[in-house]
Amino acid sequence: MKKNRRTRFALIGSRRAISTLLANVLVVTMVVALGTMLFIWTTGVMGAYQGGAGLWFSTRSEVMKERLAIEEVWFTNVAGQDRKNITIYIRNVGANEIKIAAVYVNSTQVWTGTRIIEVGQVDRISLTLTTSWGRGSVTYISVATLRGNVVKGYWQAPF
Amino acid sequence: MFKHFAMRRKGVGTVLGAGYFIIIMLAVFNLIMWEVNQYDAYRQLVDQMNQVDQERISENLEFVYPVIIDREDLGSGKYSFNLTVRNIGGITINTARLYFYNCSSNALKIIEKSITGVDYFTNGFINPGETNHKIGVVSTLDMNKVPADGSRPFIIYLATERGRTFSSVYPITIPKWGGNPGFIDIGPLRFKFDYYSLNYTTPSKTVPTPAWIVSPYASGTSIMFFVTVINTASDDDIKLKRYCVFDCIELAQSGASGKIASFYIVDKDSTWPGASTMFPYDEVNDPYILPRNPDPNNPQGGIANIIKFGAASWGTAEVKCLYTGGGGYAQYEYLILMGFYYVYQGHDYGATIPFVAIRTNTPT
Repeated sequence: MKKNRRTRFALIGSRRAISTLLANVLVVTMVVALGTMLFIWTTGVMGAYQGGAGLWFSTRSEVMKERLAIEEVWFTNVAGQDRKNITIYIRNVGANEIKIAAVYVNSTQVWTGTRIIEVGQVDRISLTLTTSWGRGSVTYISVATLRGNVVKGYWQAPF
Repeated sequence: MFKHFAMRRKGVGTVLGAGYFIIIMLAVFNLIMWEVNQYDAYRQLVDQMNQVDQERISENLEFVYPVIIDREDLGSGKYSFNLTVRNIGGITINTARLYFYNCSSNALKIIEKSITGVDYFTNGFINPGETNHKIGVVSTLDMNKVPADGSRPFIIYLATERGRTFSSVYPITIPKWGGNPGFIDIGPLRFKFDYYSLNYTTPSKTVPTPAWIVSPYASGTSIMFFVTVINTASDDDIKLKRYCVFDCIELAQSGASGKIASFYIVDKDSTWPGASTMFPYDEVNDPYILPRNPDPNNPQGGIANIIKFGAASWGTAEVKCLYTGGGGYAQYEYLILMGFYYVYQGHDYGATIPFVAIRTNTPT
């Protein structure tokens, strides 16, 4: 106790101790400030990275789980429409619900919208073309989902 | 210890820096572990879906001749029959749906999996190795009438739960002879040779009908012929030229006149020989393109195309009749030769096809 009091008096009495004390305080303050900044920056960067990577994995997983099959294409001839109708039957054979976004016939978009097909279910989409399908003609049909998967194939119209 | 620490003039910054360093390292390590975990979950999903794809391509199924057996009339307009199939793949097939497409009426009948009602099927699980599996079908389709009413065949599609589709025509008309008599192959062209592959239409018979015996055929009746052709080449499409011709060489039973009626190719939208139903062939803007064979393993050799003949001269819609000498319903025989002129790999080719022999109005 006696020694501590003596030290304190010595510190007050000393002419050269102020700079050392300030230096120590400054160093500690800088370490704390820089460390806090680094921590905040690291947390932000890692959070952003984690968010982006999480979104990528999530999106890719959703896309990967999609599987669909065009079971049947029926070239229908509705009265008065002069062979402008096609009905396609699509089955969801994946592990995720699919949303049909567009249907293309011979690389021309003929249907757009959102049609949800649950896992294991089959649905049909009726198309109305702007021009008649040719009798016996080979037709290229592709079906695109909202997540970006495309199923395509060739079907022949009746003659 | 505390006293010793408190008395030290250095070390506080180091301790704090070390603390921050450890915290940041732990955060980075945590991020890496999260990333590994996510990637592992994603890889598991990819493997799982690859397994699904592999199972799908392992499915393989054949329809067994004569495809439909055990037909019964159940009354009330319902009929039952068995569809015979064989599973030649490596995995059990679960039938999801059946489609019966009537080529004559363009009607589509959908048969669902069920055990009661109408238009349903049972016994849709087909184990690997089963060679004569019977899928029981109850439907309003009267398969007894095929093809007794003269209608063209059905195409039966079997859709599986994994998304594959297998199909067969019914009745199967390609004879089970030796060799390959179901086709005539010349160059890259393959001409289908079965009961339904050669058809005709006239102004009074507007639905394509097998042309082996054209009856009744009145002299002076314009006629169109339909031929099924496949491009077996897998390296290029084939474009047909307007010179393609279907020649009918007349043979009268009382003495061959040898006159030749030449029917030139017409537009693919033509249906029967009439002013607004038969169109000239435009080889520049709307030619017949026989698509290349997309699958070398396809036993048919490619995609079937219907080529139509009916014009009296190149690139016109002028109708043409068979030579029958006198009037009325004369009985004649015709030998058919076809000339096919086409462009393949940028070069012009031509081939004479010894095709078929048909007749008109013969009693048998």
